[in-house]
Amino acid sequence: MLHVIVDDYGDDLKIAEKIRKYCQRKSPWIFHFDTGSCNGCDIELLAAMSPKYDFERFGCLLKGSPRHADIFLVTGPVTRKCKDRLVNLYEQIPEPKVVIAMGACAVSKGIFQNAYGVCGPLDKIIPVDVYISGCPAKPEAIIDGIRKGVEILTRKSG
Amino acid sequence: MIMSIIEILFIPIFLGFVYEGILRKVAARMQNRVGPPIWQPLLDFIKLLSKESFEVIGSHHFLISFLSILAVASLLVIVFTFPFVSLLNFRWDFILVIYLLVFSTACFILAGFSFPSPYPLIGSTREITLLLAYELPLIIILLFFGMSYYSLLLLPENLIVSFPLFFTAFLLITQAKLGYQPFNIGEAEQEIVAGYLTECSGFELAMFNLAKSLRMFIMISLASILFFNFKNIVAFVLSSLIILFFVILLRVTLARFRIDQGFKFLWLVSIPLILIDLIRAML
Repeated sequence: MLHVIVDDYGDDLKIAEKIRKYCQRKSPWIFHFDTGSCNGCDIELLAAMSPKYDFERFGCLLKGSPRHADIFLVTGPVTRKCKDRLVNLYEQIPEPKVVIAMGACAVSKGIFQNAYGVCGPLDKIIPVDVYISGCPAKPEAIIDGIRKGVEILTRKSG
Repeated sequence: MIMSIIEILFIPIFLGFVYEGILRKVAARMQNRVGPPIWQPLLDFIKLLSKESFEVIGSHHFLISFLSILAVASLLVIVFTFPFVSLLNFRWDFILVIYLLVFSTACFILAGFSFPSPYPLIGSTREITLLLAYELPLIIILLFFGMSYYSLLLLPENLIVSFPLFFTAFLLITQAKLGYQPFNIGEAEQEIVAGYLTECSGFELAMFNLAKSLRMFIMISLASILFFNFKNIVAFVLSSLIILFFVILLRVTLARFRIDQGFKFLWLVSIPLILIDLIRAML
């Protein structure tokens, strides 16, 4: 659950590698999927796109197709109906990819602890890299989570 | 010689990325946001090249890669017909420009049709319908210039004064050709995910995005060459930036047409505009 951001990449990296990592860090494209959340987190995600927070200044774009995405941002406790679709979408995102669980529901099922139709939390079904807590998560927290996810993305690509 | 070929290949790509970056930055400022840096499209391009490229089941992966390279290549050939380029006296005419512009759009459409998914299919169908609407006015404008000056070469003319309505129609056609609002019908994000590019990933998506920014550079340069007669490169780029500002303004302020509305609008507005100027020129 905890992750350490590695700031020093070592001096032996070649210039091309450095350029590639810089570009990966500066242009994370996000694919957002709602697995049965109350829409609170989704609205906060839209708030992070709004003029006040504007995550496009970090190069983030919200993409409609999973094949364009780097970051898979999931909200909501995973309902049974959603489970297969979730795995399907996760597999459609090209490598390297990072999964972010956003909001209390995706992190720990939240208020749906003993609900019969819920088979979450998210990290039981697909590997999760970053957890953003909050109910709903704040736009500042979302931007922070994306930044941390991007650092993991650069390390995943080798 | 080799150096000049490299210049001709890389300057349009560079300017295409810069125009795209300016577009995103200015659009963000118009919406009261900070916006990405101007070199953002280049970063996106390199990132997409470093990503995995999916082979979609039921589609021909080699064909789509080939089409994406062809879309970029056909647009780069247009640059050779520009008047500033004096390599090999490689001057061809309007007909070649029209043909190659349609050819690159056809690459997009064919790539969309080659996926077994409904979204690219719908996007490609819509794009073909739109192609019928904006291609005819574009051909009328370009061929009129050719016929009235007894030359089909792409020569700089100062035509914005004598043909202002042509320029207006050309701006509308540019929006449709580039797939920007109000004519982003083929890749309507809210309806059909990303249209004909929905299933593209990695290398193909990078190439198609490069083709899009090159197409923008070429359409804006074409408008600048036809309507503003500037002899040196600096004035040419400045007039291009003015046209780019109009493109951004239309893109940010307008909403999307439905496909039938867009078709009707292009036929019922741009063709009468062209005809008025044509009749005025004949009298």
